[in-house]
Amino acid sequence: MILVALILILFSILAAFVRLRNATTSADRVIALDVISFQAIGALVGFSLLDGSPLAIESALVIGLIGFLSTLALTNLLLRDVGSPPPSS
Amino acid sequence: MIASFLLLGAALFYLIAGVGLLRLPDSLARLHAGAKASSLATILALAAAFAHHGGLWTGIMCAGALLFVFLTAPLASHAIARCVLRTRLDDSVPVRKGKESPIREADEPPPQSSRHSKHSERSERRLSMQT
Repeated sequence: MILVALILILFSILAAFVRLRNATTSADRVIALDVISFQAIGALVGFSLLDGSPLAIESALVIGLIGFLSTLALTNLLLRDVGSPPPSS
Repeated sequence: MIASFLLLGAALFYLIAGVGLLRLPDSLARLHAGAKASSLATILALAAAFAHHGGLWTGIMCAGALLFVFLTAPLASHAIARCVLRTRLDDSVPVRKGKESPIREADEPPPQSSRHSKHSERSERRLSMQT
């Protein structure tokens, strides 16, 4: 059953990668990367359940940290050439 | 046994997030699908890890990872939503304009409005810079 769950998680990562490839805007790619980082946490937890060692949870924590920082960096990079926000009417 | 069921639920919610990323038509809708379903699936996966391994240190790590995910996922979603709203090429913000449909196909050209605001001029300038 753990193996079935892992295969489902890998299919969902594949779906997110298809969206990453077929994205129309750059923000879509950032969304897909954010979801992929969460799904990598799930896949690492699944591997730790298969393996029996709880060390993978710490790497899941590190992957969550890296995913959050990369999302913030990419959004700041996309917002850099937009400039100040438009005046709200 | 209970860990297997929790991990299966997590996999189902990750699959919901992936299918939502594939099939929803708008960027904000895709953000909605990705953020919340992934957060719930991460709770279920970390609960599965704690139910399988047990122990104090694993509990501390799972609680830390859960707290971290719940602190950072809304911040990341907020940053992405601000990025989507400020880099979109047309002015049809679906929250403010209630007349037209908020869901617009990505291949369809943006609706031509009579007035050109500062935002659309800046978008056109950015497009010309890209090409």
